[in-house]
Amino acid sequence: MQVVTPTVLIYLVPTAYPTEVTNLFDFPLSKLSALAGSCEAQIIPAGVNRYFKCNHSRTAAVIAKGVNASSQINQFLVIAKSQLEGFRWRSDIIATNGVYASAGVNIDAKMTAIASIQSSVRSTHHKHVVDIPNGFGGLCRVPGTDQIIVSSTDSVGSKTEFIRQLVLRVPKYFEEEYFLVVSKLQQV
Amino acid sequence: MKFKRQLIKGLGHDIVNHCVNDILVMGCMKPLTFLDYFASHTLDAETLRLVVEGMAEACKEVDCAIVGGETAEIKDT
Repeated sequence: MQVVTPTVLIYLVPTAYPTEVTNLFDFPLSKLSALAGSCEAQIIPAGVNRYFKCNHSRTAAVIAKGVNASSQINQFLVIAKSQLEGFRWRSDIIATNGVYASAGVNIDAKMTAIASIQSSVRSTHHKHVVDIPNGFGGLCRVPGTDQIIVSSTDSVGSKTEFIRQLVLRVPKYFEEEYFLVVSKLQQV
Repeated sequence: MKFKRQLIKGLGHDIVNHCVNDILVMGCMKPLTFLDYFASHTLDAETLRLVVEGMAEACKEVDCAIVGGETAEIKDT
């Protein structure tokens, strides 16, 4: 597995997201750069890399780097506290490569394991299933109608551990401001 | 070893039929889709494969399709 620097990834989205499309050029990139410079962060505009997707032109992601969980969390706080007018942080998407790795989760092994079950899974597909590769949800026609059910399942997984560490290490921030972060999440 | 593999596969069978039973008692005679969720401490590819194989067998018996799923690794805290 590729060795990576532990990182924390948070997304920045326009306040009106997702109803209003904003061009990436409208992003406060210079402010983001300054922010990134102040806390060893890296900006990822729209695009896809090995582990995380940032696939709308109206979003940008910032990776806060840190050599250990404590440092990652500090960088996370610096970014999460920064206000940029017209934009908000989507801290619900704190999925990261380094955090997974530092939590002991091997993404490559997971993807290989998932690939190995594809044939079993596909063998169950009946005539009502609408086949889409790598969708975020499964599609199934409702027999006798022209409607389609989209179903999806997900779990927060090891992010619970990240949040637990965040709470343990920065209890004050948790009490005062973390709930703000959570409430922003719920608005999304 | 063969017995162990059979037991693990049985888990997949069981969970599908648990869900199908729940759906039946709600008055729906035709479950259409199934979503799997597999949580473990450390993902073991062989175990996942066997469980999903069992799920797939049970799903095919009732003509229900697996259309999505999720795996999670939850470590000791």
